[in-house]
Amino acid sequence: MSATSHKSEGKLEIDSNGPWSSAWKIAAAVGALGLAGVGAGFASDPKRLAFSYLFAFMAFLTLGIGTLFFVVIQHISAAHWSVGIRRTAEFFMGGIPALIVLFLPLFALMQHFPQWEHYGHASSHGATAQAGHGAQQAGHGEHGQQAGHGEQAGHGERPSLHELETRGLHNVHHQTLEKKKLWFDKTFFFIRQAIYLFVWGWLSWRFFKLSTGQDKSKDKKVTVAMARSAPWSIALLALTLTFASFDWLMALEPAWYSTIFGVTIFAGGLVAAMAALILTGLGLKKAGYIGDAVNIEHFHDMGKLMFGFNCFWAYVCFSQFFLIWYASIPEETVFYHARWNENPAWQPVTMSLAVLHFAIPFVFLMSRNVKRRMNLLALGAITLLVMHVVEYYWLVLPMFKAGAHGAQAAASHGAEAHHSLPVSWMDLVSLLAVGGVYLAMVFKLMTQHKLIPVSDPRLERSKHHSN
Amino acid sequence: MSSANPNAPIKEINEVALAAPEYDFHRITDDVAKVTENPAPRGWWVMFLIAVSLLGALGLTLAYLFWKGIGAWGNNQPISWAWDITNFVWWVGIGHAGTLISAVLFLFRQKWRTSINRAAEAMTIFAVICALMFPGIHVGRVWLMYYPFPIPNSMGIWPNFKSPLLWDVFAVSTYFTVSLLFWYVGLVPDLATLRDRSKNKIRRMAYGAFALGWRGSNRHWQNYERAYMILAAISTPLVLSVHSVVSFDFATSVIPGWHTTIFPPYFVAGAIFSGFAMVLTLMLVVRSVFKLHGLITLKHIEFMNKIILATGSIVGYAYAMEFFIAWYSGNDYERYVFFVSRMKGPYAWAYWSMIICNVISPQIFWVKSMRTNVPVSYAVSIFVNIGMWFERFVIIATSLHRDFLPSSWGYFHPTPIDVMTYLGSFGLFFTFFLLFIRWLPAIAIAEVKGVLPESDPHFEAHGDHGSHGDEHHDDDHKSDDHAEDGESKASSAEA
Amino acid sequence: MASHDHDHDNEKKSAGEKKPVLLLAEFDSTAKIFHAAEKVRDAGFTRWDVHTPFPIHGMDGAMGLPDSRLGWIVAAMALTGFCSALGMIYYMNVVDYPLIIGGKPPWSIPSVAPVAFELTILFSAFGAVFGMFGINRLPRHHHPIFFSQRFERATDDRFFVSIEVDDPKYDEKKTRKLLEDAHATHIEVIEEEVV
Repeated sequence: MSATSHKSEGKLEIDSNGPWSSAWKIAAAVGALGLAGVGAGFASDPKRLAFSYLFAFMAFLTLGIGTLFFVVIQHISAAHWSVGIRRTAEFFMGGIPALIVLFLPLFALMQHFPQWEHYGHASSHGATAQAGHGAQQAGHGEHGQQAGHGEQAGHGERPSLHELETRGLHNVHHQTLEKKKLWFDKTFFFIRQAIYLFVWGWLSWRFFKLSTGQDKSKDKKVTVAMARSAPWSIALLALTLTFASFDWLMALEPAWYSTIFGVTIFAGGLVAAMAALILTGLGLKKAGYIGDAVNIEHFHDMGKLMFGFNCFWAYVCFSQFFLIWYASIPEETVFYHARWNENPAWQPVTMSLAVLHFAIPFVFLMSRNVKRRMNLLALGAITLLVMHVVEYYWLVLPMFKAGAHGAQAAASHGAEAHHSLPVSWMDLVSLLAVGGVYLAMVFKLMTQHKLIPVSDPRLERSKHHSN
Repeated sequence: MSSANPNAPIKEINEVALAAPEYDFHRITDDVAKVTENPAPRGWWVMFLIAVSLLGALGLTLAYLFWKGIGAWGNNQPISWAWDITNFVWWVGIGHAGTLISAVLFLFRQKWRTSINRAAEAMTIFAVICALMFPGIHVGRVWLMYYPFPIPNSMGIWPNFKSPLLWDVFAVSTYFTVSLLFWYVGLVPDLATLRDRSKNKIRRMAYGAFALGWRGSNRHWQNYERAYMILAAISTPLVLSVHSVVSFDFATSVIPGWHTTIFPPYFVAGAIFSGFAMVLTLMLVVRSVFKLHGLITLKHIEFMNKIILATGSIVGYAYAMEFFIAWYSGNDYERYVFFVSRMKGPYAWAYWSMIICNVISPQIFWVKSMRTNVPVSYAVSIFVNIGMWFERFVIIATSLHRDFLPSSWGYFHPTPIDVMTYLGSFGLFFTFFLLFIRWLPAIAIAEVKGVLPESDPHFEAHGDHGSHGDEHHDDDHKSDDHAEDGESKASSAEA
Repeated sequence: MASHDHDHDNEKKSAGEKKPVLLLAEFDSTAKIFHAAEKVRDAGFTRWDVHTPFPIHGMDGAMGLPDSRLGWIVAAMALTGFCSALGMIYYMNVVDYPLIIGGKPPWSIPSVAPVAFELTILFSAFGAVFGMFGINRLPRHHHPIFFSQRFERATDDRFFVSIEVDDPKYDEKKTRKLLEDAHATHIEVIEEEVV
């Protein structure tokens, strides 16, 4: 049954009794456990769960799309060095259909996000909790009432200056939001989501099918076909990922905007993808599955790419922060305000992104020796993966304001409620659910296909690659 | 291990040799060195005379400008930055392709870069010189140019390090210095080649002095390669930083149309885009004047066109983001700049020229026959050069010409001095560039040799002289056999 | 070329004012020079070198060279550049003449970043270039190897091994034999005037 071992070339496929053969079952079990937790969360506090689930899902979605980007970039640049490791990336990319299924719960949870709390009410904002759409939850109505209460609070006596300011700001805020109502039209929104999901699913399926098909057909034309599809694929990916990040992350602060936001998401996804590929590649290598096809030279290069993409991530994130900080326009600074002044508990998290996602990995991974020592490289990759998760926590959770109604409530309620991080067990179960299900599909694919693209015409060149 | 060379191009997946098959080590030395050894062709002299005349005109223009003050330009209120800063940003941007080719493509192991990196690096240096001229003369009182430098002075004051313009001083001068060092380091082995080929004493002394006694020692190559790698590694963030800092000149302000967060990477992509267009413009001419078709092949041109298409698309993405976010922001001023002022305002002609040149014209390169067509490539490269100049002009002029108060609305009319300063900068650029082409190796001799298949010591056991053409069949059979092993194994596993 | 051949005769002359300094062997392909280098390395020579028109992949290993030290120089220079920038800005804009511009305090870290970055890069580049020339002891315009006419092709299409006569393992006959066995196409002894 198990394949005869093939010189020093590695087994090239996962044998039925090795540890990797049951990895997908473990992942699936973890995923099932997580999903049970997600169900419990939905029953107890759907709003809190919405934020947890979005954070966990986005962390893995960007990783998955990152691997797809990686694969496409290899085809565009006709790279030979990466042929061996490309298959690992293709497994992660091949798991995107699982992410698409995991996307669906977001539709049931979306009404709890600030943008839909606003636009979900259609035109009658705040006054009455109108049942604008079918899936109105009890919790939703509550928020509407609270917001209404907040507005009426000033009626009895003469309003204070602070209240007047708040109300004035709120009016401007409201007018601004009215101007982009079209973007939050439900039908338009769902059409967009359908396009994203279709593009991701189709591209990942297509590249996976072509590449694994080549293993058997040995048809060199497949390489050409993949190279031909790559340029327009990357264009589609760039646009869909950008707008998806606008829809789900940027819009969490409905009035906020930043043109570079999509690029930061893309860059972060690539870092996470490289970290995941390095760790998985090292695991497969250690188990003796991929032999010399992926060796220290390839890991060195992967380390360089991870380092490079991380620098790029830092560059675009710094650009965004820097320009907003320098110009200091209130409608833009609100993003950093929420993650620094408004709730000081976020300050260490914000700093950790600068220090642990950039500064320390930058110094650590700069050295050639570190990238060529597998334990150290793995340490760098683990750090960056953890920080990737932290980044998404930082992107999503500051917008969670328990029982409040977005920025307006934060201003009028004062800061007393916001001096701690909104950590919840639901964050963990969401991560387990999304990660478990996604990785189960990835690991399952690994048991079904060759672990390197054995018939890729550039494979031989890849094996001889050295730095 | 098979003795077949896996680095040989694989025809079935459209790979071709980077140098024409008749090239061996000596032929490369010969072809490149001859350009500096033979008398210059007539075409060179024609171009050189034109360039030097323009340079002379630049001298006269600048003399007049210094005498009259920068009122001689059409700059006004509200358009206080106009062609001068447009030209500055445009020239700096052009420089970026050189660094991209020498550093980024090196890090990404794009071997095809070796035929064009030397000239592109030279282009970088000369373009940055042209760029540095503009802010220098824009200050008006050129004798006070020492103000932005941190040197003690009688006023007891220091530069303001929170000013984006000051960052520019540091960024662009660092960029110039590092590019010059990088270029020179690359030149050293080739200068030694010219030294060793020289037939007369003056040449030997001149090239020898700059070759620093290079003797091809591997103990030297080891440090040399490390230095080259480090320079590439630090030039990559440098090149990103330079145009990012240039973009900060605009983006740190609160002027709608200038203040947007995507500016740094967008400027960098635009810079690479315009720089590649300029490399193409120059190399297509160099290639035909000096008959370097065997080293700068259609494949090289195709690669460059692909990068133009890619960076052009990134620029298109940035335009799209600016537009979308201007609308999405719900900010009236943002919306006005993008949807009224630029698209329909008095500068609509410049705006639409930019869109046609930058976004639409490179799309022709989706078609393979177009990106391997020399005249088409040349035409598009010119379009992109023009388009990228317009981009900077559109950003600067359209954002300024309608200030917040309609009483402060204006329009910019260039004066002949504006035009001559700009044309003159071409004289400066081409004088340098033509001298470089004539007297220095325009193609990196050592690096091109390093990418010939026979440069690899492991795969030459059976080959006498790198006959790239004939080995392939061999190869393919071998890798086929290999794959068949995998196949039979796979089927046995499935059984 | 042939007229300049020193070859066997020169070394025997040893006319008093000239003494042999280098044994120079010429090869005509990268594969041959590579294997020759491995042989010379394995024979235990220490004062020798390989001369090639372009860097040959893997030659450092074939020669048994230790890793380049250049990275350390660059790292030190980078740190120097970074600290100088911080120090300069702090002194000028905070200590000596504090300025509040754009509502930013005199010491606002984000706005320090561009200049600190540029100076880090500038100093690193100086470190890389001048460090490299320093380690390589260049410029050195006078070197006995340039006495060889054939060596002019070391920057064109020929590959050379040079072994210093001072090398403890050096033995005229054995070393020559070693190189001949490695398929050297030409071997010569280079002499230098005794100063």
